[in-house]
Amino acid sequence: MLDLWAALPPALQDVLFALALIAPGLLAGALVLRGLRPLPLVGAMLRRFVWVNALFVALIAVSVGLGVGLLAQERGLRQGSARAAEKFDLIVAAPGSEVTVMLAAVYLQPSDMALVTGAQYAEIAGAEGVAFAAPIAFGDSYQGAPVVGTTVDFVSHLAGPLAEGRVFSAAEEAVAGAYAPVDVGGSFTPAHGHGPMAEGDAHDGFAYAVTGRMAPTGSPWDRALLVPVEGVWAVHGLANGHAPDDPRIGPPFVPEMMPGTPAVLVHATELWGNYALKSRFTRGDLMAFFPGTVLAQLHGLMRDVRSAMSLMAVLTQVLVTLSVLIGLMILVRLIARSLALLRAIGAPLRFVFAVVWAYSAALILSGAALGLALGWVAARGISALVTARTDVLVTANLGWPEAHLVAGFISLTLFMALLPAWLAVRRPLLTDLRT
Amino acid sequence: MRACLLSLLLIAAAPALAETHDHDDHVAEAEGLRVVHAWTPATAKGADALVYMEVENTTAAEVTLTGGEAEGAELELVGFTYGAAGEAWTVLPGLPIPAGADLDLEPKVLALRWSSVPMDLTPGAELEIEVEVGGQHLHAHVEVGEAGATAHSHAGHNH
Repeated sequence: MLDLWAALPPALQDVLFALALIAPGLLAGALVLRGLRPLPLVGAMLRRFVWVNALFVALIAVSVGLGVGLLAQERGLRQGSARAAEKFDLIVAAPGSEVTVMLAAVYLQPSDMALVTGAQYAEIAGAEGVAFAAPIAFGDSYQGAPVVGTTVDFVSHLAGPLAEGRVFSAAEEAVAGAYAPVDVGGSFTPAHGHGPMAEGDAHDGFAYAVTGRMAPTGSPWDRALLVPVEGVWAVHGLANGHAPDDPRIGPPFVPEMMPGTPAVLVHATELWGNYALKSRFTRGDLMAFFPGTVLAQLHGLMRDVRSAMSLMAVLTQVLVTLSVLIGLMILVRLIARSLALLRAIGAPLRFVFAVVWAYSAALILSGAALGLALGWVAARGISALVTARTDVLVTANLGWPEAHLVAGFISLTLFMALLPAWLAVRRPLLTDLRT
Repeated sequence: MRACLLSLLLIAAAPALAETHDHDDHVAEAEGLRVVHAWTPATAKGADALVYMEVENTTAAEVTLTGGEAEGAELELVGFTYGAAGEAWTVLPGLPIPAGADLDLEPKVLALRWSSVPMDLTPGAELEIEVEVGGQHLHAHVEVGEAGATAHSHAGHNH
């Protein structure tokens, strides 16, 4: 049986799981409503207590929306951060914290780091199977946008063909990220450092001319300004990696003339080459790692948080629904006379039971549907906020996990709705008629 | 009398010998190639098991790790990738291990994949596998760890 389940396509597994979750609730409904037509009466009850009903629906919708929005948002954030790291095959840096280097090199969160020396870079770039090894030299900024020194190979690898203009060909030229604060044709003088403490006048007298703009990548690099690494070295008064009379930019660099770089992105000619290179450069004086691995480990640690979050979302929804059902029991007391009249004129107990259950079900289903919509809107809104704050493109859409959550919620609460219906038919008829 | 003394000596030495044997279980060695600390997380029958280990090449030549065999089934050498679509393991044709170098097969990096294991791999159990490296078939003991384990129980030991 398990083999058969495992052999099914994932999409079919999701559909079947959703159906299995919602089936008990629907089955209970089919049994309760079989052969009866309580809906006209339910419609009248919904209209009669419209504001109370609206409040109950809103309560359910908010709780469902919160759960759905949180789950969708968490997945969107996970996928967005993973997408942003996809182009960073293998990073080589001086020994230290992989997380720190990943945050600095992939997500452009500046950090003080030891440098890979010119000789080490030459060894990495010259290793068998290396298609290119791009220095990633950060430390400067312009209007909050990071200024990163690298090579032409890296620009092409990161974003493909430029959306506008051409790639840099001199140390004083730059390529802007898709949403960087300088237009093609403009120029800028970098500040030394990042944030409020950046020294705006440290590099006065030096300017980069922007010659091109990258296509969007969905990563913090969209806000960055990419310059030849030689420019970064030169602006800090260091050797530029080449002989004094050599005007070239880009590798190969003269090891003795290369001041060093915080990180090197290594791209292998073959996929397997990345693993061989990682093994080769994991040693005492260098650290090689896959950002994808570090990220997957971090996301793995969050898996327990995610499970707890899902459980809390379900519990919140059930608690809210329980409150609504308790409210309904009170409401049933208010309409007890009408229900007693129904019974007095010959309506069977099962019909009264069906009316109360269908009334509760209508509130639950409306609240769940509205909650799904609310969750989607919330997820989109929070995604836009996170994207604006982190520059990591987060797109949160509703998926099967949210569908399963709502299906499970509906099924459970439709069962819970049997309780007020049962209590309604157990009320003493004569007492209710006299009230 | 000599036999009696020898017996006593053997009894006294038994724990030490057992310890050596236990440690040897973690090492498979042939012609300068060693497989150390092979392990796999507990895996349910029918799922794919990922086997991790350290492969050491103490020879003077580069060798290639290509895969292995377990219970007559092929063990594929696979590499980990992670992106927006999630986690994936891609089959690799082989990985060179330079002379005097090591290669670590570790979670979310590299592994030997045993597809659709024919039985439950329960924590504490041991498996016998063959690791194909440098034309050699090294017979290695694989320790089955907990389902969520991230390293061999003896990780960090130099044996």
